Amino acid sequence: MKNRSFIWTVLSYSLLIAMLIDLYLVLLVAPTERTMGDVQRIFYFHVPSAWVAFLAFFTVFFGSVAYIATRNVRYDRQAIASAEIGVAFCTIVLVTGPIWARPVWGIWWTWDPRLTSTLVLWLIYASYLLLRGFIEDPGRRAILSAVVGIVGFVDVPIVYMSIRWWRTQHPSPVFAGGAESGLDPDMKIVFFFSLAVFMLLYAVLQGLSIQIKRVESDVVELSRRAAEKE
Amino acid sequence: MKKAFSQFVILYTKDIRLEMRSKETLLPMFVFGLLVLTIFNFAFDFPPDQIMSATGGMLWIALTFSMTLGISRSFGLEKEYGSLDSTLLAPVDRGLIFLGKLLSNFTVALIQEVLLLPFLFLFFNIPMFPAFPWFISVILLGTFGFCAVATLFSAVTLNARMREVMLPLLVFPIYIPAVIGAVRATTSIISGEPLAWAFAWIRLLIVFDIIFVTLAYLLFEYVLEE
Repeated sequence: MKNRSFIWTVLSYSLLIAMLIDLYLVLLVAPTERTMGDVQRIFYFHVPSAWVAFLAFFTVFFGSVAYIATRNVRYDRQAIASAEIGVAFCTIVLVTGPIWARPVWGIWWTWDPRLTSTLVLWLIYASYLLLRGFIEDPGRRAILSAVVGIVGFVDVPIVYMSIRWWRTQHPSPVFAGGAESGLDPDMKIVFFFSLAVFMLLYAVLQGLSIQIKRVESDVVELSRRAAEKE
Repeated sequence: MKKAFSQFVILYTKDIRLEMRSKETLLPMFVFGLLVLTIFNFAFDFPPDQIMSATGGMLWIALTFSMTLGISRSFGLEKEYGSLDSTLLAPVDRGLIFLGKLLSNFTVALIQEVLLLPFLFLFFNIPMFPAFPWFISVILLGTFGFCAVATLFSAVTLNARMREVMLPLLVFPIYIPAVIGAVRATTSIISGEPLAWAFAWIRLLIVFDIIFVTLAYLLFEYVLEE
């Protein structure tokens, strides 16, 4: 046990250092984009956050399926931890996007397929979190939210496809940022470093969150037993 | 197979008979749908030439809102009288319980639509159009998909606090692809656009219905276990 908490301490501190390096790289080392200027630097936070959110939502799906199949409470903790992290990072995506869009596109928001799908994704998993808050019994909560976790994830590709069709019939006034085509090599290095840092951040948050959930359920169990004894 | 079918018929007729005696779900749904259409009239005071492009949206908001109202009650009677436990004790496949509930919800929703649709045409002065059968098929497909998702989630929220609030919060994000398809198809049919445009959306509705009815059927077993 002691060994384990040592690993966590090392991991957390190395994450902190990596994040500081990432800030330095993004703000000072990465070249300034020619047309967009400094605001383009938000890309190094925006895109990795989106990746973390997608990965986290996939973990919710995986945890949900695994929970239904095995009934091991471990997978339920995995799912809820990832749902919380996913919604948090999805929020970051939805906040940093408009900050970039305002100077570059001239508008905060547009109903473009990618933006709209991300918003729907946020809504699905926000409801998932709300539902968990409204079910008292831990066993029921785990199984019912697993059902929602599966249905929600299956919906994601259908949402994306339908919104794309919806938009191709009625072209939007602006097109999604085409920065992908030919990224400067220096930008590429900074981007992949930033992505790695965000993935590490996800891993650390996920691990810590699962530990907290475990302690929480232990506390509930202990206080239940204490109440029984009285 | 034959036994399963007769079990399903029993489950279905039980719900329909109860509903037809009390009309407890049907009447509030219908009146609420009418209310939504009326409020739309005040909310967007469209000139007659623009009304066509908005009808699909108005119709589907009225339908989905009123169906949510109805389906949130779908396991309500069972819960109040504790008869859900007896249904679960009976040697019946859980999937059949879902299908019975889905079909009875679908039937009630259809009766509601038969009552409500004439008012849509009347209130917004929509002339008859040749593709009327396709319009009906969009209504059927959209309604069926909604009932499938909402029936599953009404069972999910059955034991949750704030379940009346949670049901629409869960159903609407999932239903978004179908609502896009249903609104686009309806609008394009009503405004007399080439049918091929509507067909693309009808295909989307069919895919949505197949995926979610199957998924709900498979997952329902876990939702109702005690």
